[in-house]
Amino acid sequence: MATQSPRHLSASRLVARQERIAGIAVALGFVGNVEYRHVYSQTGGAQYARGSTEDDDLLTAYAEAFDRDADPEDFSLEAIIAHERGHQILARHPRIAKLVAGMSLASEEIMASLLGSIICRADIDREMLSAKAAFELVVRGQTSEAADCRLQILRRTLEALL
Amino acid sequence: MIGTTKLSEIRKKLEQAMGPDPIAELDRQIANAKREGKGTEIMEDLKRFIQRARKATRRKRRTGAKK
Repeated sequence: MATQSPRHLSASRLVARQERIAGIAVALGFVGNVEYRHVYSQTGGAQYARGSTEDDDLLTAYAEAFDRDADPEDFSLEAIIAHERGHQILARHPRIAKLVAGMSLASEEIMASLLGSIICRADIDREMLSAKAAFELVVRGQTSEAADCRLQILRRTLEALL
Repeated sequence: MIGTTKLSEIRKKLEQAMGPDPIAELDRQIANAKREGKGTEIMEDLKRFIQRARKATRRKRRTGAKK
């Protein structure tokens, strides 16, 4: 991920990446457009952009999402995309969107990870996203116990609303 | 955006926040939550998250030792 541009890929491998991302996004319930851009971004691997309607929403995945997926000590592609689907739920779910209106960017990121952990199919992806949410609270000065309690309450609330 | 912090770094920071024995700390939190009738999914996720890394490290060390 450190180099400025990813190594060249053949057209068929680029299509395979696009298809893999689209498949994961659909399985996680993403609505809208999904694209793969073979460049490095500063996003961590993917980005959600709200459109004028849900069908116009855009999920963009970048080359580092695949680099991270290939690293056993980093996030899987499924977890990265589930986090972005979490952002879409925050923006589009009628009850959840009301709940989070006006929330800080940092809180939104925590909620996106929690939602991602709820919708993930594999245990390992769910655990990664729960850890990511806990980490965001711990680095903001919460004790691990307070962070876990808070996340547990949030998780129950979100599960009830979904 | 999920951010650029690597998962291994997240694990390290969480372990540091939980003191010298993160698994024992999580077991304590899980027991407390159960006693109070609260949910424990997040704590159990974190426990498995940390345990998974430890198993992988042990596997790596064993593989290394055979060489």
